[in-house]
Amino acid sequence: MSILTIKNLSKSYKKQKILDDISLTIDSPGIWALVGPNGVGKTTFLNVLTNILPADSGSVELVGKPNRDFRIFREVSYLQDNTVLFEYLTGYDHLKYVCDVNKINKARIKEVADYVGMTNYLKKVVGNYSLGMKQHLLLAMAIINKPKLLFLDEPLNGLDPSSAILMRKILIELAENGTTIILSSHNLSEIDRVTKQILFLKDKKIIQINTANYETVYYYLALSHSEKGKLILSENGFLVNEESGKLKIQLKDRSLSNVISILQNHQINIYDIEKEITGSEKLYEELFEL
Amino acid sequence: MRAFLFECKKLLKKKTTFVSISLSILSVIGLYLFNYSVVEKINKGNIAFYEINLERFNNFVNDSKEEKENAIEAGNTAKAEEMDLMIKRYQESSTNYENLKKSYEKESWKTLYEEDMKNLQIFINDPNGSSIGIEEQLISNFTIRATYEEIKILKENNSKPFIQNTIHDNFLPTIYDNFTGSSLEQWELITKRYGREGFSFLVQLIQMLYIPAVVLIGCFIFGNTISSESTKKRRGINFYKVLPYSNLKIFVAKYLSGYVFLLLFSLLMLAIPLVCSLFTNGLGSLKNPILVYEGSKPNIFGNTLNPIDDQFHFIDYQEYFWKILLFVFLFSFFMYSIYFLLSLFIKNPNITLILLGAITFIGLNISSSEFNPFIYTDIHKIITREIATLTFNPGVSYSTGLKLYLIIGLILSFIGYFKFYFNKEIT
Repeated sequence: MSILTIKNLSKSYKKQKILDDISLTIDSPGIWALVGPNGVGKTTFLNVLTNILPADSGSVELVGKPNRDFRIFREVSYLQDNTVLFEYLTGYDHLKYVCDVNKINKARIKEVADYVGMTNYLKKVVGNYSLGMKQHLLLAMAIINKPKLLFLDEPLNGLDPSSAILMRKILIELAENGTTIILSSHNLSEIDRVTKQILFLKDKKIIQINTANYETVYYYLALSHSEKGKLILSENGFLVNEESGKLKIQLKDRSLSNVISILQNHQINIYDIEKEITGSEKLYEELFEL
Repeated sequence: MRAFLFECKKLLKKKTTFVSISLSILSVIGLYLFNYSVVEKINKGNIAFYEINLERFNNFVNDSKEEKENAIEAGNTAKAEEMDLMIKRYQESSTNYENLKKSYEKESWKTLYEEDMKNLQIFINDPNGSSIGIEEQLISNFTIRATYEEIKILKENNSKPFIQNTIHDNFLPTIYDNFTGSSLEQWELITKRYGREGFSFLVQLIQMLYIPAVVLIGCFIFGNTISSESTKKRRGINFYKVLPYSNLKIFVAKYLSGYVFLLLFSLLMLAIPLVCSLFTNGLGSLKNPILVYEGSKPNIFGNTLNPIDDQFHFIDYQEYFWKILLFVFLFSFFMYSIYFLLSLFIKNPNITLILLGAITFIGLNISSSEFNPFIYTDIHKIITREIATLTFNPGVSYSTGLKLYLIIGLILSFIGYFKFYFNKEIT
């Protein structure tokens, strides 16, 4: 049984075609990122998949059932934007209702609240929540039923770095535990950290690409003598840029130990090393001709 | 049931709900206190009027006594005897006025009722229909008969009357009087009725289209359960759409919760004047009478009312209020179904409210056909069959109104559901 099956899906809005004859099948757990420029229809695509908006033609099956069947939401969740929250209710009210509807034991509320780090403000009204706190609540609502399939629309919006790290950790854990996740995001570097499977939405179609072949590895180095280090590494044939006081180095076919030994030979101390792998950004540039 | 309870919880937790209900309660309390102060003022005015009259009678007595003494001194026996009679008459009137005033002050209504009945009895069997009037214009025989019967019932039940601008001859205004000019002004002044006890005040409010006003406000507060969650800034409706709930369940929960709250709000607004009265003049009697017209038969003059032959009867407050309760139940359903449907098209509740108010006003005035549901908005005139009598249309009845409200309300609710179900673009 495939988790997600889309057949010849089309959708127009105000006489303008947004999705055109899209077919796609996903039949294994993991994380898929939905990427595309603003206004291209990512949210509409997710809304059509979850039957919030009706499709003009084609069919969608989620967890083996047509998306018109409301019972699928016992196994499917959708993290939408925070306009779906009720400002005058508490986080607890929201979670309790989702539990009631899904016939889940109330003990799960505390468990999930702890997991996403919202225990402290669980009983405060949502109107007093920050953007990040709302995202936490939305995430808690989305995962409280332990879904097989999870859609997330811009889940990293408004998150501070620590929350973003937590969100990333949670998504990876969920995927490892068998959940299929489809998330839309603008943050390509965040996407690269959680998945290599990208669904590009371009020209009303979905282009499914694995970015593993397009990966570029960068290292960020904090050095005792930044200017000197940059000069020496450039002389040795490395592509070096300076970003926020750190040197950004692209290794290509050479190793990190090579870089370290060159710097040590010139008595330059290395205080910190950070690795970044980018794949989607390069692809994005190529696909959207930037 | 879960969705319904969740909706109720949401309605209760909204600050706007709390503020709107509080303001509505305060307004009704204000209205009650205003009416109470007006009633007190009228009471004092009525007593003052009698005190002035008493003083005038005393002056007449003194003047007559003086004239009598002068006549005796002048040896005019005839004049002295005439003055003696005058003095007796003035003293009798003065005593009578004094008694009426005291009865009024002590609220000995029975004495006043007896006096009124004695006065009215003379005119009831008048072969000319009526010979009592204001200035040159006569009060109809129907009104005199109705007033007499009303007073009779009040006396039998030992009930308190409405407060009017006179102590006795408190006429019951009917549709059979056609005063014009200054007579009309005076008639309106002396027949304007103020409810002093809770039940009477409620009847007074109902005659002023209190229920439609309350229901409109209630629709405004509680009728936006879907529309307020389907805007660009607030998409709460999508919260439900990704839960294992059918669209029908979502719609029913939202629709019913709003309606139940509207109903509770309307009943609360009806109860507030009664609660207020408990701290002042009490609830009054449920046996007080309400006039019901029995209509007019077609006659040689065509559709004209016959004040001599046309009949009437009275129902008591208890029956009246049961009818009002059932009306509130179905009228609010009817109005709510229109508001709810409109709100699915128009997201701004202010515009929806104005539109519904305009539709009701136009509907109320556009046609007197029994199939015009808005004609039943003025429920007092429906229960008393005033509209049916005036329009010579017996089809305009309380039961027709309720059936129409139920049928149209159900049809509009179904249309609302289909709009919600098929037009998902609203999200």
